Amino acid sequence: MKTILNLTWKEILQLLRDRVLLGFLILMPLVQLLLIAEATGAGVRGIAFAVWDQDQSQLSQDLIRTLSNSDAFKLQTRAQSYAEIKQLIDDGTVKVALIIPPDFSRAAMRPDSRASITAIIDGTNVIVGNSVLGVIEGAVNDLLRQMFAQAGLSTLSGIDIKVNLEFNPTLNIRWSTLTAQLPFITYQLVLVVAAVGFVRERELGTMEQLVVTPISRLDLMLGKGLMALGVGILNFFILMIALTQGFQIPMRGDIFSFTLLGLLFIVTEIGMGTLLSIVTKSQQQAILIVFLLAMLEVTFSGYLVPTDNMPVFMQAAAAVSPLQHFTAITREVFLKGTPVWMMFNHVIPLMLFTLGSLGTAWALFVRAEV
Amino acid sequence: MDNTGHIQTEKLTKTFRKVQAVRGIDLDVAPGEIYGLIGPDGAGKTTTIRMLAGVMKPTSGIARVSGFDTARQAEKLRGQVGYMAQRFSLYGDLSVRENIEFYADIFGVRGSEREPRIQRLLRFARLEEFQQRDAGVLSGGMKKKLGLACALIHRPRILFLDEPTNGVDPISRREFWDILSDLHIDGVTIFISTAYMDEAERCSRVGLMYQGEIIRQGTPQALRQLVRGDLLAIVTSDLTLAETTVGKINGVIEVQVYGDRLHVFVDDANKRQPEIESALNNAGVSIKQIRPAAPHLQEAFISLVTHQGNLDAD
Repeated sequence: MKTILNLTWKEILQLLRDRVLLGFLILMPLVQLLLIAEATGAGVRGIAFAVWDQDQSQLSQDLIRTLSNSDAFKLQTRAQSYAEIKQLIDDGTVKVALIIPPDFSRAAMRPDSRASITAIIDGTNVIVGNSVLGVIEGAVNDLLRQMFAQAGLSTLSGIDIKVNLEFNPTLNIRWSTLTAQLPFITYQLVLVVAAVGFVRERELGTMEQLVVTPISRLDLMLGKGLMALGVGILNFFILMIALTQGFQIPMRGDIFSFTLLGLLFIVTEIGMGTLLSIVTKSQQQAILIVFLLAMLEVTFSGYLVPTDNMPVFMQAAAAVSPLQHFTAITREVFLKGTPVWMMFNHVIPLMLFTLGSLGTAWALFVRAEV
Repeated sequence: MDNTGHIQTEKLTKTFRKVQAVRGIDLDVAPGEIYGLIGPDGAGKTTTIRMLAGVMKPTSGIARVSGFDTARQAEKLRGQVGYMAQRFSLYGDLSVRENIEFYADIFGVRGSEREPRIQRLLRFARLEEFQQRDAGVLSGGMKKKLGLACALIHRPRILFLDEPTNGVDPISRREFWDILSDLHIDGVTIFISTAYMDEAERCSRVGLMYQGEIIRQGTPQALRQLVRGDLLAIVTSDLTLAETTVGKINGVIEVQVYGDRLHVFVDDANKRQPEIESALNNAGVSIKQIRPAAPHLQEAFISLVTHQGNLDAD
């Protein structure tokens, strides 16, 4: 028994000395809690919606009011035509549009017919799409109950909601999440290869020998970087093929410009990985940190839940994540076919990150002691 | 004036956080010399060599190799210098052959010279049959020889070797020194740190390093003379008792325990030998052997370091 305790004591001492592992053990549960909280409690908040009320009745007004009074929705525009509705959805100005037909209230009152409304939902992000649908149904039911309580209208037979999902007609869960897999998987792979690059040599002691050779710091960095670039590009194309051919997800945008943006992203992450490689002391530390970052990014990159629905301080954190920007770009290009120039709010930050991470990595590497 | 092979330092210092590992040392090694740096563990030998080889930057002071400042003009020295670190610093997951080829490529050894040179190096390192073996599974001695081969692939005029024969069997050690002798004849400057005294004897000059400073420098002969007095080697039945007994005798300068025997330094061997014999007999210690011996560098070294330690303690 005593031997076992001695062994355990030694393990404790070693754990306390390993600051990165210790930090990881403390942060990991916290991060995961944060993650689950966000993912499950993720509110559908302040979703902009438009409505084309062709009925203009008391009932339709009540319905609109119920929806706009809820926290989930925010009435953006009262549209006057189908074309206007389509435009608003396409622009992304609204995420939901409701079309209330002219016979809405009449159909609702008559016992032998059912009223219906059409909801057009931007299905780019599936989880939101589902939640929105849920909220609309809830609002409609609330309305029905209210009216029943008020006027005892037992003849009210219910309201059908015809749902028309744009961009993601099958509301296939896979489409939204799978497209987000491309950036996420690429992120992890490139980061790991780059992060292990230098610290591996330092840990094994081979760096010392390299330093006295004619290899310059630039050569070293490019040599390691090229390796990570190769892995990233290969992975990028494999995933593209898997997504488009294997999972049959349509690629509605321009492949060429998307690939260029993908390259930018890969290079950015090579810079980040190189930074990690310089500041960590062992491969284990480097990989643990990459793992921790990946967990954080599950939330902050908008992988599961869109960032626009997060509290402000989390949105600020998301804004400095290159992965978040590239994930948004990926979804836009695949599912909506958005051209590059329209995504400048993601492309510009991405470019800045590329320069920033490369510059910092270079500056630190040149000065680093072996 | 061609400075190639000249190693020089002025007040070379390296401080790690609060510890001064190397305290302002001055060195002047002429081209073609074999200079040996000896010292106990933690004396600062490895740090010194790393600064000279350009692996580490000094905190203050200057190191010049072939006239170039190792900190500021490091690029000029790349490819001119060969370096062998104390711990195995080659790629364990690559084969012997792949390692040598990698360094040959890095140092730009190409064309018709490349293959014969690789073969020659493999041959003198006795690694020809082990070419395809992963470097990580080689024995300690073979690893060191591979390290030397990779450090020599580009025919440097200056070699920095950090305890290169540490843990190497005696035969491999001799082979190693055969190679170094050839290089010495060829005019290569060799700067080597070692814990083996017999190797120190083979150097042109030796520097004794202790706690970051060079306390003595000179040829092995000169250093041997520094040992004061005559040396008597005594084998007894009771080492501990003998040590204390002899230490009290007048005229005994120093007593060193050397394996199973005592090395006693006296002012006059003829006078003191009988005194020692009777003192030991009185103490009940029987003497198996007592004879004069010639002091080696080993004794000088131990003596100087102990003396220095005593000075510091005061």
